[in-house]
Amino acid sequence: MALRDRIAGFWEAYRRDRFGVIGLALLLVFIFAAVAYPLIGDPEVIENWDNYAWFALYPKAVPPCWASVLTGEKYQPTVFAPGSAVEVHVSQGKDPRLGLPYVNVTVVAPIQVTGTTPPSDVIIVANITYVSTARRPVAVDKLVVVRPDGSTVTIVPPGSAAPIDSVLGGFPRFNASVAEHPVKLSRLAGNQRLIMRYVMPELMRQGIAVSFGDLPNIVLRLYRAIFDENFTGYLLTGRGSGVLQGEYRWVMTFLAYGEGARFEFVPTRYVVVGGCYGLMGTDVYGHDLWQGLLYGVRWALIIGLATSFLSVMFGTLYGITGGYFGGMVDEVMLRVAQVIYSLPVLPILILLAALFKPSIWLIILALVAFSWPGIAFVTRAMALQIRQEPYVESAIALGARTLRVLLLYVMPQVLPYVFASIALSVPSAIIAEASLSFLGVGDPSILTWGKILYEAQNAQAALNGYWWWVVPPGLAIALVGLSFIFIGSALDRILNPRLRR
Amino acid sequence: MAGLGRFIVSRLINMFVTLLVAIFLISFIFAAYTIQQKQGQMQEEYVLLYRQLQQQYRGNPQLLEQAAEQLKKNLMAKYGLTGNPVQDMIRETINLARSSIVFKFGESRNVYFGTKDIGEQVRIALKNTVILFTTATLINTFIGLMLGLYMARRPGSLLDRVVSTMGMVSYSLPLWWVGILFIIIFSFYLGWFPAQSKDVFEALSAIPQDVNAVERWFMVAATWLKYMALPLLTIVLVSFGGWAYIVRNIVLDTMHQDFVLAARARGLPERRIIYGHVLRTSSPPIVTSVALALVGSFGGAIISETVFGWPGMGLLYWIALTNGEARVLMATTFVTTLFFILTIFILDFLYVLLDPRVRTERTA
Repeated sequence: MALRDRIAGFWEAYRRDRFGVIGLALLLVFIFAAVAYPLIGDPEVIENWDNYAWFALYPKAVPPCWASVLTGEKYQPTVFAPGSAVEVHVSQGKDPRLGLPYVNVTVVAPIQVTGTTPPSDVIIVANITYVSTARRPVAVDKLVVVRPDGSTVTIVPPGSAAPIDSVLGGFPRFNASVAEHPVKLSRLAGNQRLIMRYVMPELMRQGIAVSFGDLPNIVLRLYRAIFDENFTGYLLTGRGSGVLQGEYRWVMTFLAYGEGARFEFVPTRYVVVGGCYGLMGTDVYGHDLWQGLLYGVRWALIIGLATSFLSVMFGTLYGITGGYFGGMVDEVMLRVAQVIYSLPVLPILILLAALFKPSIWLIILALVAFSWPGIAFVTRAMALQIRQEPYVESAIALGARTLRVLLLYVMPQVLPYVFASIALSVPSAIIAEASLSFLGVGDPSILTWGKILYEAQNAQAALNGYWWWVVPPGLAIALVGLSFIFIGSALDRILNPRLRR
Repeated sequence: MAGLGRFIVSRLINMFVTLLVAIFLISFIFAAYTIQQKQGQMQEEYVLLYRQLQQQYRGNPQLLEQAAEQLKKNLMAKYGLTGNPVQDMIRETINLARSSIVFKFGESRNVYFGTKDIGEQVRIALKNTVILFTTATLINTFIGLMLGLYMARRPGSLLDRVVSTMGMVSYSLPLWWVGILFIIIFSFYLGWFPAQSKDVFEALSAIPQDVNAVERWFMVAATWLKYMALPLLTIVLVSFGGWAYIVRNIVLDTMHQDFVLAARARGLPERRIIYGHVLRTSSPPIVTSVALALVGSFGGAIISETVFGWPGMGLLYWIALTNGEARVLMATTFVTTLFFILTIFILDFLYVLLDPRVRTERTA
């Protein structure tokens, strides 16, 4: 009963502490994020964090989409669509000139351009299977982009029947079966052979003055020019009049010849790689930073709480033991604690971590090994006082054993201080682990905020202005730390009114 | 005076014990690493040579066994291992500790700071770290003291609340992260400061030689300041709130004591009360707290150097870590630790000078 009343009374007092309530609310949010990550996040992203191929289709180093509020720029959003977003028309017929039956597959991919920058790539991931039974290779009969203003940019003019290997590099001419192959518009528009063979003559036919000296520039600019209001201007000078917004259509036609020839193009995914991504953008590897941020809460809480709990508990037991016994025991224990207290934690931890590549649990233990003395000093001083109290003396006189006195008479008196200390030591533990990870000597197998910052530092994120990569992880560290500091100081105010310093 | 003598002796003993423990701890860690490396190398070489022996003594297992035994002995002698891990560890640790004490760190694989001599590299780096860290500490002490005193005289005022909250917030901020943030703001977007300080030497050597000494001195100072500004700003902005908060609390405590009331009753001017009485009495705990605050900011400052490319100990750490230079790492850790312990104990002695009532009883 008494305990329940005390808890109720404590809660009454805690409720009135504004900072304490804010801290508790923040902590509850973090705990929710940590526990519910499988529901609100995508664990697959975290599992594949170090698998660069997995992020191949993600835009690289783009800001979050809401950043347009800050920069005033309108970003092209990234669209991950299922393969059904791409239309595939199949028709069969007979070529009268060659006298051969053929299979005609036309692929139409719509591209919505809404931003002030063009999509950095448009990718159709498809399973492609084909067999040509005649002696003619499978061909790309047409490859064009129809622009919103009705004009057409031609890469392979209709009726050219370009052999497929000249368009999709690396594909065999007559039969193939490839799964999950990314067909990239930027690659097609930067294909020097196609530009020389088809694009340049086409431009000349349209009366645009291009010479073969312009070829290198055209190879570099064609993709970007497709999306420019002034196509020829951009192509020739590299300066356009801004992005033409609206719906583009990317049209490709494949032909396979012969009796029983087959051509199957099954799109599985369709990606318009934009200039922004999701809630927190991506880094240079394409990592979805929001997922990393959300997942990092788990490790921050585990590291912070485990380290502070263990070190405060050890420090308290050490302190009250020394204080209770006094004399030589106390003197020796105090000296040992002082020596450890005077050692700089971080340099020694860096050396340890760099040489032995420990797991996160060993890192936590190492942090504990260096951070307990501060607590031990205070609890020792408290135990020195408590030892003199009449109830302790009477307990000893009644023949209570030392362990009993320590745990049942001394310990409860220091517990309020211990609770506050646990909360207050969390931030430094989190920062210490983040510092190790930031230097690249943390546990490489887990994803922490420090590791995200380490990757940012390695990619020189600050010098490139990738703020969305750098700011959120640090802010998250600070917020978690702050919530514990708020809670800790509230506990301190309520539980230790006498000790207020 | 007996109290003072005892105090100094006890502190000195404490310092030497701490130093010894630090030296042996670091040597021990590094010894474990070297022995592990050596054993790996020995094992590789053994497997290689054993195969040759197998060829040589085909069909004669007894001779092969003897030869293998001999080979093992030879290799152990070559790598200086005895086969007894405890004995090996002790010997290696003592060797390393001995060479560290006389600052013989050997040579690095690559050239850093224009030299391969690790001792020289550490010397250059340490000088630069001291330049940055001392300046930051001086500025912090000044701002913290002034602000803390002001806040203590007007507790609960807007400034008091703002700075106290700042102190709380800065406690949970990684210093190096704020550094990255400032590079983005002040260097990338505003372009006020150079983002990387590594170029400071280039800029220094570009100063013309034919100007007079005074002018030259100013130019050198201006160059240092230009490259130092951003790291300095970061360290000061992150830590001054905490320092001011510490000073405020200690001074506020002192101001409630009877002798201050007595001084007021005697009609002393407020300035004299604050600077003559309150500050005089509060200074020992302030110095102790400053020492502890140094402890906290030191590690952060080391990593901030990496962020800013400040050519100090932090950058040397980063270089050693990224290039796998274990010897450089050991030397840097050793000297940083030494430097750190010495700083803390110098502040401890300052305590003696400031507090006339030196006692040996410890105030926990």
